[in-house]
Amino acid sequence: MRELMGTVAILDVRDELPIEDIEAVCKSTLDHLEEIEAVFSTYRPDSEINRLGRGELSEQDASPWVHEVLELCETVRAASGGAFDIRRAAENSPAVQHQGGAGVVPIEPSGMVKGWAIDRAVDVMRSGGLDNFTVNVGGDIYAAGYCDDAPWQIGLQHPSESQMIMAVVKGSEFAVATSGAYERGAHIEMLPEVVALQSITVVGPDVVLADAYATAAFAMGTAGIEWVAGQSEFEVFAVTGEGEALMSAGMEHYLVLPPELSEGAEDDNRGVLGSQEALSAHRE
Amino acid sequence: MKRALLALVATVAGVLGIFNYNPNATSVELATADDVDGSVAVTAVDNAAASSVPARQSVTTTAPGQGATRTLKGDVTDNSYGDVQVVVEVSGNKIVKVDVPKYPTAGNSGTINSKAVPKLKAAALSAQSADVASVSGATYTSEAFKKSLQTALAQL
Repeated sequence: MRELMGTVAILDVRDELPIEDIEAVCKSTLDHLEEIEAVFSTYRPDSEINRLGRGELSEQDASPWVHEVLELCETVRAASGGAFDIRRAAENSPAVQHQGGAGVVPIEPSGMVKGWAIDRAVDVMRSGGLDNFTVNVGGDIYAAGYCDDAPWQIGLQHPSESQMIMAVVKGSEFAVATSGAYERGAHIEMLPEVVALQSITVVGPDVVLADAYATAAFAMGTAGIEWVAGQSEFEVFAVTGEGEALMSAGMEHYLVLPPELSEGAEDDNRGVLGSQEALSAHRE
Repeated sequence: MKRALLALVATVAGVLGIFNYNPNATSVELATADDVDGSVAVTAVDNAAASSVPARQSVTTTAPGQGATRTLKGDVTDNSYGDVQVVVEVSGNKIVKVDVPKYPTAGNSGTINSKAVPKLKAAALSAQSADVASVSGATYTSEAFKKSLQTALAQL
């Protein structure tokens, strides 16, 4: 199979600065992302992460970046009761399997790397003097500052109708990360007892954790919704296998609902938005 | 007051082998706040070679002057499920309609749930005054939509 499913890094800058300055900072940021990719890509046989997985590189000799990411992975693995596990994920990763061999323990930290990389990119953008921008890598986003003096509005992709938006969230200095069924098999392995979700979006102040929570919670299935809802400062919007949308109570703070869907339209819209209910209500 | 929006798009190989920066990335500068006549200035600084498919962007102005309705078409992007193109109708600087005229036709994306379409439009409509600046989704076929909507929005 050809790898046509490339992902995209998009930097959207709304600072009122000379375009050349903005472009220069964006270039540095993308260069930085490329460096990160060289270290962590499971698609590059010579990446540090693959050499580590094959035992050619000891954890001791790995770069500080790798240490940082592996530590984060371990933290989230423990916090998620093992749902987020870079070693188990590797067993199901087409990229990693190519690199594997007898007796090695490959690792697949991609579920953490994306958010971590976005976080680094945000730092580069800020140190370049930018305050108002979004960094979007493969659908995971950090939104800094404001979009033309208004909160950033981020669309959430419909899980099964990929060209549709099912909801819009707004905010400033916040992260939006989504895991969906269509990436299962890439780096998320489901435990057999899990009741699968179609997609799960995590919103919160930190993009590293938002990405990790989304990845872990997706692997946990329906149980993951409450798990994320229980994480302080993070909110969740999930679509179950039946197409029901569930969200944590605090998600309403971020959601921008179209007027015709937010009141009195339930009969007509028993779809994703029509059937949503606060998770707190769902528990009762 | 000039608004500068810079969209750098980098295509990448590999689902998770993220961020392969393409030096030929599309770079679009635009200024809308000053354009009191409602026209839109779109300057393609580099080229559209970042996309593996030919860029087919177009801007149609149906009426001159303030409040003119423009139709912005995103790139036709293809993915393993088929082609996707998004069309955004803009009046002044507000999105008034988002349409997806070209549906994926192959693969296991299945039949389009027609009931869901108005919801997409409604969601986009509610965000009109501040743009849907970005779309969050899991990587994969989502990319095609995001990219396509993104390119349409970048013309605002």
